[in-house]
Amino acid sequence: MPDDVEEFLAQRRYDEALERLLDRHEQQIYRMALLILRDAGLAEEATQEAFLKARRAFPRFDGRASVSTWLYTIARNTCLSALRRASRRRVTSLEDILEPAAPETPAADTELLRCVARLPESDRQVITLFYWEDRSVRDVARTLDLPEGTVKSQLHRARRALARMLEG
Amino acid sequence: MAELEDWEAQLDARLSRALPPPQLRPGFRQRLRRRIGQDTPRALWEGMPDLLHLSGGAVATLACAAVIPAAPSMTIATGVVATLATYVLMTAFRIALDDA
Repeated sequence: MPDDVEEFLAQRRYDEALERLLDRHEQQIYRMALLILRDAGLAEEATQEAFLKARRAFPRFDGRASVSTWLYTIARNTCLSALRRASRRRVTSLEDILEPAAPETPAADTELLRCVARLPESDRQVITLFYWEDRSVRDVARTLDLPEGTVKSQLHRARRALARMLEG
Repeated sequence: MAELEDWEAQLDARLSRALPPPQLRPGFRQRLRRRIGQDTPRALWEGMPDLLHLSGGAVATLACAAVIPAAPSMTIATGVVATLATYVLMTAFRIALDDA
């Protein structure tokens, strides 16, 4: 059964297709941008740019990949271009983007965030996205363009590393 | 074993609390719609260099074919090749600038 976004695109109802894509993917794409760019302003700008590029490219969408795969490819490339442009700028630390849930977050959470920040880049991205995406391995795999098995093994490795750091 | 599972569940709960999902600022879609609205005239404007280059090349080629005392077909072929070659160079330069 074809995706309704693809139906909108086939009928050239581009504004409706964009709204549907925003409903489904804007937060995930923003989080991916935030992980790559580590700056909330740059991440929002890259998210806007990705949707703008997708909107411009709607007439050329050929359906060879699913719309979401196509959109994530555009978004990933947009983020990587933004990262290259921003490479000379200062980037914020991981603690800056991993905001505490509330001002009264206990000290133990800060300790945990420091441990997360010490993980290797790939494990840190996987475990952060896993909790940002409500524990969905599938969403993490799609966002990072990784097989689900790889995500699961990285999650396992990251949890073990965190356990060692917290005990040590 | 049960102790390990309990410990893992505690770590899981702590990670959930420590890593709340970041959200886009309110007004994201309004700002995006505004940019999309501005995009149509900008796309036309951005296409102007291409249009000017190609039409300028065509006019210059035809003028040369009329003025130069050589076979017009040769002059037109040279003009077309030169126009397309410089167009490719201009496009490559623009892509390099966009990526920089």
